[in-house]
Amino acid sequence: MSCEQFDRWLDEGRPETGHAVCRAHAAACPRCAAALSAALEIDALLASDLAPAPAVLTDHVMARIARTRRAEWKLEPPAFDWWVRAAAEPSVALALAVAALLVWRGDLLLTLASQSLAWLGAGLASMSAVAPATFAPATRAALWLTMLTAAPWASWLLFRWSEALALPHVAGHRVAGPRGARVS
Amino acid sequence: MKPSETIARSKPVAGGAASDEEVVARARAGDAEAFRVLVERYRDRVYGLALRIVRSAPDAEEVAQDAFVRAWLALPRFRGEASFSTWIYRIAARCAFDRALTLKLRRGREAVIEAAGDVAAPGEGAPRTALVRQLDALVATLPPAQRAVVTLYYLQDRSVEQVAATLAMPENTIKTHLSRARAALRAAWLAREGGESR
Repeated sequence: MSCEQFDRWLDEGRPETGHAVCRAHAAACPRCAAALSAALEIDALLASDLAPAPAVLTDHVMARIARTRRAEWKLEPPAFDWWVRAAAEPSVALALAVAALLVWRGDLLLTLASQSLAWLGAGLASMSAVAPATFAPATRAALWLTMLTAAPWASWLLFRWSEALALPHVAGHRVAGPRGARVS
Repeated sequence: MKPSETIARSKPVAGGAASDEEVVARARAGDAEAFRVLVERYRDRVYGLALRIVRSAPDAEEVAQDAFVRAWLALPRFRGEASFSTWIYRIAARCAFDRALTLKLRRGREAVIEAAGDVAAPGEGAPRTALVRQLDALVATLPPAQRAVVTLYYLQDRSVEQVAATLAMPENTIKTHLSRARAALRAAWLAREGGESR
């Protein structure tokens, strides 16, 4: 066994594997004997008690706790399986209707979409004619960014709203008890 | 104030007899005296862990306080999947890492150069042996993650699995931290002994 292998054995926490060989090596090598002695000493010291906490710690903790209101966060299990809840969502029904329409009369849907976009474009163009500075490139970029950020939130709000509309008392997890915890 | 928002008062808990599970169950129900028992049981270890990570006695005390208050607030959500000790050490380690980062940034701004021997102050002049103090000073020179791993390893019955669960790290990462910490501490310890013998 080499001294490097012995060091590796010490670094690994002196596992049982190779224990006898390593001990024999340490008996013949003063450098590794010193390393083993240091490792044992460090081990014993680290296993000894840590610095004790100040005596007032418990009282300080209890004083803070006495000023603290604790929330009773209890999540009630949903009344229905997720697929039942999803099927009852107006937003899901709307999405299914659009998907069905896309399959059945895709051309009609595309025409409707193009007409809507054209209508929206005309509206924006008329607005920019009134206030051209509003639609400067930087403003347009900012508007796009805002819309991109807001779209997921709007979708989520629509989903939650439709859920509350369809299943007012049983949808999803409800938090019972006071909401939030405040540490005064 | 609603009844659920008040801290329930009850007769004092016999701390020595009850198991952690029993005391935790009572504390979960809002029994502050039961929680006091838990604080008494774990205060030294939580404080010691915090001190090893933040390396400052006043900051370690604040971290320990924060950890216990957070534990109290989160107790209703504690499901007992891990032991209370693992859970409270995890909270304390997170609080301590956050505080260590804040301190590092603050010290960086103020350009304060700290000496390892100064910052590893034990609590309230406790009777610590010279050797333990010397080792504390050496541990203080390790990176925060290694300090936490080494401390937790000995707090948690030398179980790599438990340390990994506490710090939410893979077991191999814990083994690597331990291995590097052992090597660094041994080298520093031998260098110190060499210096003393000269």
